[in-house]
Parts: sequence; structure tokens; C-alpha cells
Amino acid sequence: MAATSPVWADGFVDLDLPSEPVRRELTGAFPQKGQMILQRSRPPLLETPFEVFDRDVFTPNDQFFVRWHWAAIPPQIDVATFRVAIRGHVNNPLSLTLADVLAMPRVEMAAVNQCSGNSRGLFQPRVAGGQWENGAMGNARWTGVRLRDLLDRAGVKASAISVRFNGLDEPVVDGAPDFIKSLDIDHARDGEVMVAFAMNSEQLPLLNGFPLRLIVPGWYSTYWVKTLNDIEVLDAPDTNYWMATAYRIPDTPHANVAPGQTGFKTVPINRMVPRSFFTNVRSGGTVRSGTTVSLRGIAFGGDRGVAQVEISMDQGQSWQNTSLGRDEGTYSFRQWSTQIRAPQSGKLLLQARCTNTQGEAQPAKPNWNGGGFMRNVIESVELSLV
Amino acid sequence: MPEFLNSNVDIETRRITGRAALVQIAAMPIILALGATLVPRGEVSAKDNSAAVPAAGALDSLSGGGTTLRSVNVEFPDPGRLFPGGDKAEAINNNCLACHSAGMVLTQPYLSRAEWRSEVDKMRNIYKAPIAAEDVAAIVDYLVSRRSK
Repeated sequence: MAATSPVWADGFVDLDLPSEPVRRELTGAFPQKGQMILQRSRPPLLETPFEVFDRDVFTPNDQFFVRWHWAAIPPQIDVATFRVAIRGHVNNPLSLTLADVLAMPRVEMAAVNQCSGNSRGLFQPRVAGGQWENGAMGNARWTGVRLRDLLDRAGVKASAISVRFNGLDEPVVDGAPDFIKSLDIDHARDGEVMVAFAMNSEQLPLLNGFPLRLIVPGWYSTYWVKTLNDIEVLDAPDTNYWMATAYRIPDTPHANVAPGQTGFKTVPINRMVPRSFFTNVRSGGTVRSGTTVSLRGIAFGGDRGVAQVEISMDQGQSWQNTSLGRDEGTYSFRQWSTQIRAPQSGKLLLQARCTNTQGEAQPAKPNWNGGGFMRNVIESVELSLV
Repeated sequence: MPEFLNSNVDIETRRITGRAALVQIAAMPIILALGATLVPRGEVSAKDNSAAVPAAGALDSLSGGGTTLRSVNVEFPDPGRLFPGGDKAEAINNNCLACHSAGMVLTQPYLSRAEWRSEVDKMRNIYKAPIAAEDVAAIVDYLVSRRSK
């Protein structure tokens, strides 16, 4: 099939999806990016190989996942001429240079950036869309300025209801909906939402949003607008396609509905929910029977911190606590580790469960919705004893 | 210049001939990023031109508060991939590659004919894909024939 593969593919990986096709190309061909799992070349969808999450609590910029909606992405950005506008229902519309932004008081925050559809490929029944395994997420230390400070500088009018964000990417065809997203004014001004110019102490890779990216801690990545150049204060809720039609979830616990169900209320996807993963063992691996086995992984609490991560060796009948690594902040990945005694024979089914500081724990049953959004079921890994 | 996979390229003139030529052009991200001839889009063209030509005396980097930001100028890889299947793939290759490469379509799980039809309708009606009405059936047929079991 040479004629149908990109000439620049490096090799292949088989994702752990419930049905075919599971094979994906690996590629290092994208600018400023290392080796990634290729989900789509244009516009790029690049997944982080899962072993990256075992190496550090922060995800390296060059292997941080990439997701764009439209193919018209500017390949060239000049830091001297770039401007970000703050306009709409403000008293003093602004067009700021990057020098203006760098001169403002800055904040730093570790936060997980996760695609709304991370793990969509694991949904059963399967659903259409990007067939990610678990690597459409990453954790970085973001440096930038508070969105509140930018809005205050422009002087938000009392009539403000929401704030809409646009980046330099554009649709390829006329009349198609430009990718724009909004937050309620109170959320936009909460002092945590920020506009970042650095990621893990370096400028962002272009494909991750250089030179400015909106950071919405605890919320899904769809709001984290890349190559952010326009901030528009609205005096009404935003009814654009990407808020009113796309990225909607059922307004039900865990955004869960039955396949085929209709007639339920929907809301824009919003806060994230807790998740945890094994990073040093994968299903299909082996361990020596009767030995002590070290296990480790990462967890995050969604829009809260991680309170605990527990593991089970008996399909959820009993749970044992793990040790948590250094706390890098409420919205960060948190490493966990523990040791277990492998049984003498049979299979070893391991499960990990995160509970956040609000007392919200991962559910035992997977959720389902047609968009493939918000998966956070307890993860399982099955190992063979040798 | 990206490598052309399935058409005739005259090395001297770099002219492309053959039925696949239009498709190859559609698959070239740089041309589309510039909003050129296949799907004209004035705004994109204007915006990218302004970004592509730095103002006279523009700096390659600027610093503030201990942070330095450097201008970027990157090249995206050629998506270089057609939908396989020869004549059966003609409609999908001619209509769909302008907006997105083939990869994500070819890695979809089993979807029913109705689900594929709904995807194609979404591309036409919401995302404004310029797909001729008479090509829809051939595209859906292709997607159904390709689906995984």
C-alpha cells in the first residue's frame, strides 16, 4: 500500500482499541514535534505515545498531543507584528503586541489539557470521530497573564455576558463556521483562566498554539483556543455553532445516555472529571508470579485536585491506597506508585481509581454518548503471570 | 515541492499531468493554507500574506520579563495520501481532500450506511464542503465498502 501511505511515516503502532482498525503510523515529520501517533495529517491530529506519560509528570512540548479543526493554519508567525485584540463590549478596545503581553504581571500554573474526545476509540458501541486511545491529553506548566487582567485593561462593560475567543486558524471553504469558543464572563474573570505564552518554560510549538493560547484550568481542551488573536466580549450568550451545536454533551450524570436514546437535554461540554492510568504496565504484559511488583501511573482530579488513587486486584471488591507524588497544583497530573504481591497463578487484573478532593470518584461502568466525550471509567490492565 | 505519488510529473517543467493531478493539488497544504485557486478564500489569503511578509525591520525575536519569543516559519508535511481504490475512490478523492486528509476517515470503526450518510451530509451542510449532489451516493458507497467489520 505504498501509494497510500505518507512517504514520511516512521513505523506503526497498534492501539488497544476494541475493534479494527487499530494500526496507526508513527511520525516525527511535523514541525517542532517529536515522534507522535498519526491520527490525521491534515488538519493535524497527533496523539502522544502512552509511554511518554511514564517518564515525567509533565509532558514534553514536542510530544504534547495536537488537534486542529481546520486546515488553514498559518505556517509563519512574526512576533513583531502579531497582535491580540480585546474588543466588543469594552470601554477601551485594545490591540496588544506580544511585548505588551510580556510586560504584564505574569502567573504560572500546571494544568492538564485533555481533548473532549480523549479515549473516544474505546467507546462501545463505537462512535464516529477521531479514534484516540488515551493519549489526547498532556500536562504542562503554563506561563502567561491572567485573562482577567487583560479584560480589566480593556474595561469590561456592565452589560457583558460572555467572552468569545478566536485564533488564527480558519476554515478552508467559504461559509464554514470558523472555530471560536466562549466562556461566561464570570468564568473568564475568575483569575485562573489565563493567556499563556510559555509551556514548560519554552514558547509553545506552533501546533500547540504559538504564540498565545487560552488556558482554562480544569476544563476540556476545546476551550483552550490556540494562536489566540481575538478576545471579544459579548452582551449575550454565544450562539455560534461550536457552542450551540458542536461539543454538546447530554445533561445527565457522566454525560451518559443509552445508544439510540433521543430527546435528552444537552449542554456545552465543560469541566473535566477524574481519571487515572497505569503507565509502567500495559494489558498483555507479564509479571513473575509470587514476586513483588512496582506499579506506577498518573492521575488527575478533573476540575479539582487528586485526593487519592487506589488500586484493586479483585475486580473492584477491595481497594488499596497508593502513594501520591509531589503535588504540582490542583489541575496538574499527579504521579502515584505502589507495590503489590503478584499471585501464584492465573491472570492478574489490575484497576486504578482516582477520587478528587470533591469526593468524586471514577465510575465502574463506562459512560456512553454519541460524541464520544468525557470517558473516565476506572481503567483496567490485564497481566499474565509467568 | 512535495513528491507526487500517482501522476506524471515532468521534472524539467514540474508540470503535472493525469487525472490525479487535481487531487494532488488539493492535498497540498501550503497551497490551501494560502487560500489559492482550488477553493478561493480571500480572507485567508490576505491574512497569510500579511503574516508571511514580515514588516521592514521586523525583529526575529522579542523579549520581556525574562521570556524570549522567536518568530516561527514552519512547513507542514505533505499529507501525500489518496483514498485507495482507483475508480471507486474517484468521487471521494475529488471532493474530500480539499479540507482534510484521508487518514482519519480510513481509521473509523464500523459505521452503518446511515451513519456514513450523516457524516457526508454534515460535511456538506455544516462544514460547507463543495460536494456536488450527484457525488454523494458514490462517496457513501465507497465509505460503506471500506468499513471495518
